[in-house]
Amino acid sequence: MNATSIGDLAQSFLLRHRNTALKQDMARLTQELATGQVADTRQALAGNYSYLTELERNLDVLAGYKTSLTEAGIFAANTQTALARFQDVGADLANSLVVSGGSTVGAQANDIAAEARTALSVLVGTLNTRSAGRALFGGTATDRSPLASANVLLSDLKNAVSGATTPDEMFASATAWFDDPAGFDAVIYQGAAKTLSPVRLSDSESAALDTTATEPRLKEMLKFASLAALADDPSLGFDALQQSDVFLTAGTSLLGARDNLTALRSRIGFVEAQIDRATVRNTTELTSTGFERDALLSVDPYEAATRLEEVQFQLQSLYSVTARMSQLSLVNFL
Amino acid sequence: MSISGALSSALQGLRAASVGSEVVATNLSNALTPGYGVRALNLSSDATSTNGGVRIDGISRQVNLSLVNDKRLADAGQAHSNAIVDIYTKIENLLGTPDNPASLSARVADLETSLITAASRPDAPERLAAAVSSAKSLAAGFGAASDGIQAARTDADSTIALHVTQLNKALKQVKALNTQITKSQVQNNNSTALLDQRQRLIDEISVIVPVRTMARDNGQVAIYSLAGATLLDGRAAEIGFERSAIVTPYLSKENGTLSGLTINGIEVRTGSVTGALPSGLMAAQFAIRDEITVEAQSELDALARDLIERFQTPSVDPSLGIGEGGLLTDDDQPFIAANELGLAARISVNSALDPDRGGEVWRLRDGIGAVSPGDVGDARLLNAFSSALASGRSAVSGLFSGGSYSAIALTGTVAAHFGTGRQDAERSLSFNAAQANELTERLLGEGVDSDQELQKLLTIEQVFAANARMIQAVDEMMQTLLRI
Repeated sequence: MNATSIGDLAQSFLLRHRNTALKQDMARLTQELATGQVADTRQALAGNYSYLTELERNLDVLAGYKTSLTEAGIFAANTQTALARFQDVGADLANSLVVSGGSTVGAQANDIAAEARTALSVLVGTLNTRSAGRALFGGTATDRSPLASANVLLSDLKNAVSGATTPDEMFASATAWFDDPAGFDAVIYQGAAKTLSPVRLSDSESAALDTTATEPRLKEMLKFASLAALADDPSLGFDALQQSDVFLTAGTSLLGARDNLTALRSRIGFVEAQIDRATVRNTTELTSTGFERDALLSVDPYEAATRLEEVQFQLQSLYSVTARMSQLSLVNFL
Repeated sequence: MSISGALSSALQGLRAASVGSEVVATNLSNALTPGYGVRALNLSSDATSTNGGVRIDGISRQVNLSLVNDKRLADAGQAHSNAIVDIYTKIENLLGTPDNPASLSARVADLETSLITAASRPDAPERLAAAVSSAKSLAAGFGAASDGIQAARTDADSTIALHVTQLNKALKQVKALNTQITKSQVQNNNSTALLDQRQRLIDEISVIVPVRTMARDNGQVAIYSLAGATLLDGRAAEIGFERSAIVTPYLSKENGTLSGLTINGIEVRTGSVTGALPSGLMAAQFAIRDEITVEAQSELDALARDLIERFQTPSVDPSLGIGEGGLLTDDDQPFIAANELGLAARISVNSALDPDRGGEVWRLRDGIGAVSPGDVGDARLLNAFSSALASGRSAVSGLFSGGSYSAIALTGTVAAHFGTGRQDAERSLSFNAAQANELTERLLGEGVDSDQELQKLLTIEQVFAANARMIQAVDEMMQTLLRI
């Protein structure tokens, strides 16, 4: 360093340099104060994006699961409602079969059979329910009704039990037809063989909503209701005693089937509860992930305001120093 | 007679004072010129005459050569770091920061989300179409990033060509200045302005390729690069470089399709670790063209490969045969390991899925190879696609091969790698910038001090007045003699 002189430009270079740096700082701090977020996210993350990437991805995916959960919840609720109706109709039919089927007055047999036919069409209609355009009990074939109409069911069952002479034989051949994969399952059931795949509730959880119309407990009810409907059929030629026998057996079996249905309904109930829990968890996770993401990039407004004050003061001092130093030249004194 | 001796000394004094004022005037007028060497007047007592007097030895140029050399190297370092920070920032922008919805990681997350909502209602064609569209947007993101990287490479190549032209021109100009300086020095003329110009030219050269200078006879200068290559020693070296009109991933220096650097026809190594260019703008551009963007492209290609291979297997999509293209393809062909280079520009959604290219969106649900739509409520394949993205898989190529990553984790890790690269580059830039600033300030401190010049001017005025008074006194004395 020269002991006798210092160039003019050195000082002005230093002042200009500091001026630019302070102005940049001020611009950055003003932006941070206004937005509440760090101005340069890359500096804040220090090149480590993995955490923020994960948070952003979780936010996106949780929103997707929210939709999935809502739709699964509606599906499960509608399934439960349909099964409740199924069970109630079956129970009502069972009661009236047991009560009035026991009487030996023949003129009433037609009425009871008619009642059974009505109940059967309600049962079939319930199993054909759709929820938001999707068939509930058809497996993966959600675009078509899972069961053919009650009339088709009755006529096919009539063919299957045509050779029976006693109620016991009728019941036996009906059971065989309902259990036969080439019988009910092939002809009346029009849904898909594949059940719906488990609904994804989160990255690690899924719920199974895989009840189809070929569920044995549902078929039981259909079986006894349709047998009660066929009791007065002329092609079978049962007498009054045999008819009331059919009604009584069908009625008591229906009561048993109704109890079996409760187990099925409780399984759906469990799935509903699972979906509810997952929804709550999903909402909580969404909120907390949102908070975490904001916390990562947020700036304390008090600190930002204090630093802004500091920088403003520094800039003002720099301006006054610059002005004063420009006066300090020998030129002004000559 | 001693009166005439006094007269001649006074006249010499006057002349010295006027030349002094000329020097002060030159200095003051150049107070704002960067790279200006402060002029000083060299005076000595006149030994040739018996009468005494002052002799003007000449006007010298005062410059601190070691400071100038240090500043040159620091400037070259700063320019180098600046260029490296710029390219890493560009690559980071192309890949996208996580909070940017257009970043690659956001697109991968978007695909995962749309597959989840599609699996919830597989019978809804709009959900399937949304999932296909997310996949297309992901492929487009890769394409845009790859194009950006190759554009940066093309820029680097053309910038090198520009620098080489500048360098050749500057070397020729320095050679011409060398000749002129020698001429003027031999004729005892003032060569200081030429020296200023030459110093500025060498400063410019040094930003491109950092150099060392050696003084030669008669004011000439020889220029060597830091690694020892002769750029100018009597004759100016000819730097050679072939520009490529457009650079693609398949062109590289290793396979000879991109040009290297030659000095006088001899190849010069340009690698950043083993090369002959340790710093400076040209070294930065070579590093960009041959190392940094090549790494970026290969990482992008490895990421694209990982995504394609997740779907290109019958264990995920049973409707595919072995070796048939899956959800993502290499330009609608199945991916083959030998074709990894440049894959990021070619990755695309299978045309069997894309309604714009004659495909059907129901294939996303029923299988790429499906001939007709299956059951509409079947979410199995959609769930399998989701798991394929979310499950940890060991990438086969790239820097992160061997570790088990989900698709989003691998994307985030690759982006973070370049974010870290930028951090490192910025650290070295701030170091180099601080050094350059410090040296600039010190060098400017050696420049013109207007206060000192004015003080000198005061003295010169006094001396001029004294010498003029002397002449007046001698004149009076002679008049007295003549009146006798």
